[in-house]
Amino acid sequence: MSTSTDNNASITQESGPSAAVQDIQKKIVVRTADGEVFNLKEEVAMEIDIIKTFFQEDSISYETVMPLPNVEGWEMVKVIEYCTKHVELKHKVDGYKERKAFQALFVQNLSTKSLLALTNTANYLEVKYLLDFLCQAVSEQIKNKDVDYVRELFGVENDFNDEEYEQVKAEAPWAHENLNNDLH
Amino acid sequence: MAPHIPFEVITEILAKLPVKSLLKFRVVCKSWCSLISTSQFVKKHLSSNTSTPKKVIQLSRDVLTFYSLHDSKLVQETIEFRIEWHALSSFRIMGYCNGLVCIEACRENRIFLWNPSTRDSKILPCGVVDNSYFCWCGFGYDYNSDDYKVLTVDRLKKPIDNYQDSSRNSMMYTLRTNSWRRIQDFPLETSYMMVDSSAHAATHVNGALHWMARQGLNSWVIISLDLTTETYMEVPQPDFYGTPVEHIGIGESSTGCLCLNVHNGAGSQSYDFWVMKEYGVRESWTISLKIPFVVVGIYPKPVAWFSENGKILFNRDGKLATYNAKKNSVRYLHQTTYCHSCPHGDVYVESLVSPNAYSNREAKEISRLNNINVERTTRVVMSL
Repeated sequence: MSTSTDNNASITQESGPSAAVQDIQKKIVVRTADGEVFNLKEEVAMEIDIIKTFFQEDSISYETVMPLPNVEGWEMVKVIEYCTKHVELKHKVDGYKERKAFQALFVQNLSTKSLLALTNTANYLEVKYLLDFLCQAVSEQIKNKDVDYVRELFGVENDFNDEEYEQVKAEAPWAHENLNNDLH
Repeated sequence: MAPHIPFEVITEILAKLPVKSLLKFRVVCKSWCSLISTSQFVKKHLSSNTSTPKKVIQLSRDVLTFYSLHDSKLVQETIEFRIEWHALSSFRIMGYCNGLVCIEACRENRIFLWNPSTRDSKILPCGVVDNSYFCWCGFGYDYNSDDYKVLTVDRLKKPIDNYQDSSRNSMMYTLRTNSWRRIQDFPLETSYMMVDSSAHAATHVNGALHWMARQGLNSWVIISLDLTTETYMEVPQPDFYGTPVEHIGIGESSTGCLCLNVHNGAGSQSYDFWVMKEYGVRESWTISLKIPFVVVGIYPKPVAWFSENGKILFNRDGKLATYNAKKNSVRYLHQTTYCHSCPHGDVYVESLVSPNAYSNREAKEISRLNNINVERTTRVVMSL
């Protein structure tokens, strides 16, 4: 968590007065699989390691539009949303509650399938903290689901034969029960 | 249409699941089944599973109770265990670490390791002299050899004189060798007059076992046993007010620091909780919380630290309560059984770690207990 003495590091804040001040920040442009183009503020773009590597390590000019063929437009919107908030909270001393509230809203309208797709994208884009958060969110959603649901969600085939299946299940039969008083 | 999810992402997701869900999902497919059993995954799960609430253990006769926080509600989960050969035994917790609990069956002089989440268990071979109980003991994990160790310091059966006997003979069990051997003697002559019966089990912090031992009337010393080098040392204490202190308890905070609960009768008339923020550094001892005597009465034994809100869960004479520093108030939990306080203010973390991980699967070495883990009940006991 940064302390208040770090305030001089950032010229522009989200709540900055004029658009003109914000234009001074460099922009990085990416294009997603569906052809959508996004302009990212440099500080947000640098949170995304795959973008950071592309521009910094290979010294590619910011005028180049970086293609992201594995990312959908709606996913990019969410990633930008999360990274922007993350950058904003870096400058705050006590952002714990705000972060929690933001995280709750962030996943609110996403189906588990979408959440999983977004997790995959966060992995591809290499945004570690977003990946961690999304993995946590997915695990929360699947922990009480049954085995068939999970297979379908992950696109996984059951390669156990009946005998093997029963054998593995018998090693922890209680784990397959859903007790009413289970709080997990 | 399900997208292809790389195995590394699946691993990250699974590593955050509670143990019960993982045991269930072993049947999803063969690759998941084998992943969940690998020791790398078990370790990864132990370190990533930070959001499954940590639990606090209390043991009372043959009922193990876990307390955990779910969204500011204190939840109680009790497990009654029945072990065939222990119809009338009394049990004591010698320590817990990485999801394993080490329990002593007092009358039978047997020790067993148990993972209450996976229900896997292992009876340790007998290794100690026939004793009614150990003077000092402990259980912990040695990072350097990736091994779990149990320590006992024997109490000689025959007292040397009427009220005192001394024992220093230290025996160490390691899971990998599945055997006991003698190590360096415990550094103190210990008297039979223990501070309290739960003080004999060690606090496991920073790869070492710790005990608070009384040396003379009001003189205290913190003894540690490094689990790697298997040698005893003294840990520096804070400078206590310049006056002799009547009573000190030792424990572990939820952040993994060594802490002391000090009876400050000479000064602020409170129980002061000291935390050693930097292990081994005397100057880093700081007072984290003070509970005034008038608020709490008899000596409270810290059970857990819920440090986000400046609250602490403690055991006061067999009853559990929370102290709220902001309001300077105590609330008692409704409970029907007397709780023996756990030897230290540790928090228990559930895991997939198996006490039989190092055993030869084919043989008689695996000595599991049957009929353990009967009757689990879970309920919310209070809102914090």
